[in-house]
Amino acid sequence: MSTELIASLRDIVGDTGLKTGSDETMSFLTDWHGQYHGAALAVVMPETTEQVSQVMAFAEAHDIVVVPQGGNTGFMGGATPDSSGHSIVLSLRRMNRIREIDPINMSMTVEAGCVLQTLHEATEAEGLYFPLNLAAKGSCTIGGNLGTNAGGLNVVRYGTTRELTLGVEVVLMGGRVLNLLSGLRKDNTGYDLRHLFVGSEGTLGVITAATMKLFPQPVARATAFAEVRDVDAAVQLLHRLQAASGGGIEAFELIPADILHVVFRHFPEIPQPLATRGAMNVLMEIASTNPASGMPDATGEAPLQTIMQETLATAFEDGLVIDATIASSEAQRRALWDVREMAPESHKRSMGVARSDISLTQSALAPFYAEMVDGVKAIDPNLWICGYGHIGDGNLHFNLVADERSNSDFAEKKDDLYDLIYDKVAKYGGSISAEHGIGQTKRAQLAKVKAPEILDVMRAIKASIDPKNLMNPGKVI
Amino acid sequence: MKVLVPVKRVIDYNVKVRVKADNTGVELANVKMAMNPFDEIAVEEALRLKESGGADEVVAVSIGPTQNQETIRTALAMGADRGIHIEAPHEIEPLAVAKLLKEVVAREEPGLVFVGKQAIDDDCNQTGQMLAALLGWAQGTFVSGIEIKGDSAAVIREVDGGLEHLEIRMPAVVTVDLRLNEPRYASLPNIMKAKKKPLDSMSAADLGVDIAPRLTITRVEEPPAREAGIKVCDVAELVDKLKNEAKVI
Ligand SMILES: Cc1cc2nc3c(=O)[nH]c(=O)nc-3n(C[C@H](O)[C@H](O)[C@H](O)COP(=O)(O)OP(=O)(O)OC[C@H]3O[C@@H](n4cnc5c(N)ncnc54)[C@H](O)[C@@H]3O)c2cc1C
Ligand SMILES: Cc1cc2nc3c(=O)[nH]c(=O)nc-3n(C[C@H](O)[C@H](O)[C@H](O)COP(=O)(O)OP(=O)(O)OC[C@H]3O[C@@H](n4cnc5c(N)ncnc54)[C@H](O)[C@@H]3O)c2cc1C
Repeated sequence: MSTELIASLRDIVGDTGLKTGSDETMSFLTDWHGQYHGAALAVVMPETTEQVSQVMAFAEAHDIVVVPQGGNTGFMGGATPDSSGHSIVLSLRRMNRIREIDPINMSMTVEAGCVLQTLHEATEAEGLYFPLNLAAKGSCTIGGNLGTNAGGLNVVRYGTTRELTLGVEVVLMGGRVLNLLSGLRKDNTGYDLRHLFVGSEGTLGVITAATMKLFPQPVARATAFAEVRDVDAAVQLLHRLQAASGGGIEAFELIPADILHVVFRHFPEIPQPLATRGAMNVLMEIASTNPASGMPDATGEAPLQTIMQETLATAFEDGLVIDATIASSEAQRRALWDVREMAPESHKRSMGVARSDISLTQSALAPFYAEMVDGVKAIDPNLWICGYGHIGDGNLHFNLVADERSNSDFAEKKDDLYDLIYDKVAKYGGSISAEHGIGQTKRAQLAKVKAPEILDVMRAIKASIDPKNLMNPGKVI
Repeated sequence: MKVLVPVKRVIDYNVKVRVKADNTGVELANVKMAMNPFDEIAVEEALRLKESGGADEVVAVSIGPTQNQETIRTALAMGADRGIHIEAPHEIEPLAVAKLLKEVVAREEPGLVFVGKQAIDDDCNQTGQMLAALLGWAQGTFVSGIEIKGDSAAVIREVDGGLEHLEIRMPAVVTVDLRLNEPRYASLPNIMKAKKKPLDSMSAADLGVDIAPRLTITRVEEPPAREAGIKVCDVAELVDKLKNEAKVI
């Protein structure tokens, strides 16, 4: 039976589009964290929307579950099939053409398998900027970014993937192709279906292409690393810098002392930004598309640099900032960013970690943080409290990291830690998933925190588009 | 003792350098500039010497257009005490720089001059050596370690065969290499203090030095683009290509 199915799939995508041997398929069946291991009939790698459509028609006819996959960097196990072996992984990686870059409309139409970094390079070559940026950029795909509605480092200025999306092309279970591609910025013709698929994590259809917004390329930057008095001071500094720079904040990241400890432990070669390690720190960057902002003016100082200096100096006098440094070269800027970008990898190398991806209103950040620190210490005073991330948009990765200092029974404490995190998130009206999605990891948690009538509507939408429940079942809802 | 540190403003190390359309030089308009990385190491070493009591003043000097004052401010923000800016065109040859520095040395009378072993833009690796010769001073070049012992300095030189340990008489010129130290970040209080530190400006003419270029650049070109790699099917094809195309085996 399965050999016949595989032969038919091979007819659609050809030899090079099909992987069945366990050596070849292994990396597609395990997630980035190595938490989930699935099984599949085959990994199917179509090259065109037409082929995707044929695969989806075939899948529906034979009741085969389809799990869409891009770069397989997702954190929630959304791209890993279950272990039954009745699914196919539909990898979009070979659909990696840039169909069009339109510098007049400031948009591009690209296929789902384009790796994010190649999109940065292609747009930069045209003097344009695609602002979606995350540490996984070298492997994640735009299809996966759309599937998870990825956030990343620049949301504070440009919004999430959803806000960057003008149109999508989607193939539904059964093979129908919805061409919702469009470069239009305004289009009020009926329900805006694109938003249904962005963030649906492969449970409603396969995104095969998208039209994304482009921006002028920022050419001048000022980047600083500051020790701040506390989380409240960080939020005040955010608003001051936003006002001083005319909304020019490109990134604003919270970095507590425990992050520094864990990062420098695993990456001792990264230079220490400040003379002493402060309890709470911020990595911030402002940027401008005007080259003159980065060049010294009559005062001998670049205007952007002056804005950063003066904002920090005033905040220093007001007691919000305790110490700071401003990168004086691109090399220093990159070294400051290394501190932030190595955080996920340093956690992966630690003995144990309880991860979260939460968002809160700016006003809730400081009280939430303080209560979390107390709560975690009550569970285990020896954990590294790594609540860090994109606080410019209210997003924290509140991770608890264990090492040999922590008690050995970390695994048993994880449930308590997650209960603590989610209780506090609920108390402050936050979200249990700011940008990583739900996948399989948070499915049960989602069912707990969403009102039943909301879940009912979600299920009704899913059932109307995918009545046989063949699109990535067991994920999200 | 005073330490003099010349700091050069160069195209930022991480910026892609582009050749001007008319092939007369490289594009500088709207290009991000920064302190020559080897000069950062020289500033750092001078500051460490001062912090350990081996020096009492660190003076940063930069030769070039007005924008070079930003580079001096960077040195002041790291902790240098005072700056001297000598107004000159951006393109200035090492000999002219060495002659200007000789005049600065005559006025400032430092015990040591720390210079980067080379500037990353023209890669000349000449200024320190020329300055030592013009002054008739001892020189330690490509230095990765330095220790002051009374009126001499023990330096470690990075040479092809390994490390050379030398003791040189002071005053001396020391050209510093990559492994000497890891330069610090400027702290916010120091960045603010730097704005108030003294910065003297003068012209090459004030110092009585002729800086007219002696070399003519005839043409500047991009290096040839690297060809894209290819995938070979098997070892036999690889060996064949190495033998018959690359001719390396
Ligand atoms: C080091 C590192 C840093 C990260 N940083 C961030 C960050 O800052 N912000 C952030 O938001 N995420 C971050 N992530 C998580 C992850 O990279 C992103 O969610 C990314 O968008 C996933 O893209 P992918 O191509 O790897 O998708 P995959 O992992 O392959 O898939 C993710 C989900 O999308 C679905 N999917 C994939 N392709 C399609 C498609 N074509 N059509 C429909 N559904 C599809 C899958 O079924 C799955 O549910 C990070 C990951 C790593 C490893
Ligand atoms: C002088 C003038 C200038 C205008 N300029 C613009 C413009 O620049 N841009 C623009 O986009 N529009 C413009 N419009 C159109 C119109 O004003 C807008 O569409 C406006 O948003 C409609 O608001 P309303 O409260 O009058 O809605 P109504 O006319 O009462 O209703 C409009 C639609 O919305 C539905 N609706 C109303 N309230 C609700 C509700 N609470 N929940 C669910 N559905 C609801 C109605 O059923 C109806 O389908 C203009 C109109 C005028 C008269």
